[in-house]
Amino acid sequence: MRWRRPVLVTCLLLLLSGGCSNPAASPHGPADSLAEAWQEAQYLNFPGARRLFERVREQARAGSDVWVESTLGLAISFHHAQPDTRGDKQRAAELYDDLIAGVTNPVVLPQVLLLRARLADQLDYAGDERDLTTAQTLYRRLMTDFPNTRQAGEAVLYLGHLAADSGEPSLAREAIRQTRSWIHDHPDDSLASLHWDLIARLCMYPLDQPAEAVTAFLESEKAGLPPMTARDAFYWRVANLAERAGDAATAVHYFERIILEEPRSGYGFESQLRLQALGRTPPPLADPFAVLPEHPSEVIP
Amino acid sequence: MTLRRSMGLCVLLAVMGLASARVWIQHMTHEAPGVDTIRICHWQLESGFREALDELIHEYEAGVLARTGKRVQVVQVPISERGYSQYVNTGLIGGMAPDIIEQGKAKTSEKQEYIIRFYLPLGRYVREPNPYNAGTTLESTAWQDTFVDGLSGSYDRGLRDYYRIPFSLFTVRIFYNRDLLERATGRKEPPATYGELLDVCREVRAFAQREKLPLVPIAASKTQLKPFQYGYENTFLFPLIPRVDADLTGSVDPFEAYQAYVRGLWSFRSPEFQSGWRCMTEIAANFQEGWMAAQRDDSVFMFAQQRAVMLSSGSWDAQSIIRQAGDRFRVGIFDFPVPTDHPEYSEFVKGPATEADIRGGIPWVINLKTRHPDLCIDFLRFCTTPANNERFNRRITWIPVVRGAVLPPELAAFKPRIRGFYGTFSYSISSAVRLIGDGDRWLLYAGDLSPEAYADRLAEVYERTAAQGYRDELRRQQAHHRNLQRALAALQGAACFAAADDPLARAKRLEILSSVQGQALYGAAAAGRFPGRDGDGKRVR
Repeated sequence: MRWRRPVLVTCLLLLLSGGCSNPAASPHGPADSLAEAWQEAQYLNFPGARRLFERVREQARAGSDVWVESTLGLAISFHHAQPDTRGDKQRAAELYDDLIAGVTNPVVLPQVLLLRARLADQLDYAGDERDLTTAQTLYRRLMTDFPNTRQAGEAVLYLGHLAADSGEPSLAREAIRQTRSWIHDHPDDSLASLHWDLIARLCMYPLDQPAEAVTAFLESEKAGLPPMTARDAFYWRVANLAERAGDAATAVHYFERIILEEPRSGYGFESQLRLQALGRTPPPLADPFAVLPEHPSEVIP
Repeated sequence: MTLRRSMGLCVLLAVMGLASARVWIQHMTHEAPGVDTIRICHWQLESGFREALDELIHEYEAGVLARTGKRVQVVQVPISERGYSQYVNTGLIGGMAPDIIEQGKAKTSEKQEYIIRFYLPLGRYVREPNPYNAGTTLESTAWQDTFVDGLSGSYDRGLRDYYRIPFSLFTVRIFYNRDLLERATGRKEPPATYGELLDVCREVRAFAQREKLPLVPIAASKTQLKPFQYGYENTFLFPLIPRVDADLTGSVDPFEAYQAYVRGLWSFRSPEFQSGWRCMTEIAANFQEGWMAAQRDDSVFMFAQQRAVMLSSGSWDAQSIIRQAGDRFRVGIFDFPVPTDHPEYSEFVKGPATEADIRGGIPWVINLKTRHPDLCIDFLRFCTTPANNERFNRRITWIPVVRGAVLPPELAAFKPRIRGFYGTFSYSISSAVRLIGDGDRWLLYAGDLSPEAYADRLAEVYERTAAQGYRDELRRQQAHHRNLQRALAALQGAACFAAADDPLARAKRLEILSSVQGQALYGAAAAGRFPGRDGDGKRVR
């Protein structure tokens, strides 16, 4: 009888602990845990990812592949977890620096350098300041030490963003020169379209050089616009810039392309008007809703 | 005594039994063994919607059973608009949200940081053909291209890959009582020009006075003001857009508006604004007394009671309006006649706004945590064949969104117009401008404030708050830029250790990098073009 109460309490505790148990916490190998952690990071659940990366890292041998992967994952989790705090950013910087000091893997190291540069480049919490010297040094290191990597091409873009952010024409011109030189030396870079887009946008702001912007946008298109570019908006911008630059032929070409290639565009009717203003007979608008019956003036019998 | 005692126990047991039975029925409905169940939630409580969806569901379930021998179940979860946000937000956070969710209303279905966390990216699926179109002309067409809008407006602009699958299209027009119009004005046709619209209103008022009838030209409410504002006021601002649009998107954002304001390119006293407000005030003078306090249903009721000749509403209301008219009167629909014929207004108004880029409505997204993603995709594909989309929309008298689906004949006037101008002129840069601008606008429309006086009040608030609003908006844009970088970093980190370079994953990284660049350069230009400097002489950030 005197055992009745402790037995009942024990049963209750067992029952509760069963309810609280996490079925997902079944034993995993490090590969599974890492896959799960990356998945959580991609869902922007950085606190959840951090716990998983931390667990794997604790059990991994320092310097091993698993350790490198979990350390990078952990660093990214600290870097991007919200709310952004000074402590998290400092911890991310330490982890990136450890990796930079110890990793030689040619796939991982450029990514770590790029992320470390981004961390220095970003403003995250109240009182945070950009460490532009570190960021620029790392971007340039990527361009010189790893010139054939995607990360180097991306670093060129970020240097251009810094120039745009400064609003200084001289820095914008320098960024354009540097980007052109990069494109020249790396004609097969998978980011070529974005490099040309950067040049074009710098020509728009802060330089206000519409003719140069048009040339760069055309190169960007030639290099292959990113898959989900809103093409009608792209054509509209090029046509307007060309008109501003006094390049009527290009303006006409792009206004026509809006009408002929982008029937669902909202710019179609105005493109017709602009072509008329340029002395051209515009092509007719194709009706994207042609599958629906014509528009009668009155409809209810 | 014994009976009384056992009565309590009996009631308790009966209640427990009922509760258990209910739980069991719910369980069997939603998680029946051997049946794959998906739930689809929405806030469309309009008459006919649930029945139309149910028809598709039953046909789908039967079709899958006949084809594969597998039992599937689609459970519809209609939620009132008022509770929808809480239902979806808590469901997603708690991991218990339905499998298919109508996107909208809830923060978790609209903000990018939540979209990534809670929804399945549909890019891969929309680029494949819809297998339910096999044997038709759309057999080898990518699913997205089977929609009349090509899903061009149905994806997240920053994250790109996150599509929504629409079921219908919606536009707004003016409904009119054909019999009453003829009786009051002798006209058989609706007004085709702005001048005619004002004439009709004048004739209706005169008729009502003559016949001593409680009749007004237009039934309206606060809700129904918006289509008029969009149809009239905004069309006056189209000529301003090219003058102010610095980044050449065809639209003016609050940054560009403020930059141009400081440079003196426009003001609230500009003739475009003044004429637009005058025009809108002219129209509002034809609404019923007290329209500002009326609810949407009040004005629909007024129209159904034949106490108004016209009513502005969307195609979503067509069925209920036509039903309410019944055999009592004939309903017609016409487009807003814009004042291109007016001696003063036509200087600014060259045409209506375009609807060529209209995006699909009733947009569905799929819960990332669903146990049956393929089933969800399959169901949405089934619903969006031309035949099924047509049937669904015909049942509720809405506009179909799939190519080859025929528009219900009574909705032909709602067919989107393609000859029109693009863009918006958005100057609402601060909360104060929004609040005071909207509040005083009621006085303007009521005729208690002249367009000039309204302009001066708005200018005072604008000048006082725009610089701070500019900085606040910049911060929002920077946060957006930062969130895109979070998404990119996670993808790039994972890619370093991926066994093989997946081209789809590579394309996704490129798309997000492209968004990061777009946002970085947009933010840089907005910050750099800030007209003036901060108090400490630094550039604005």
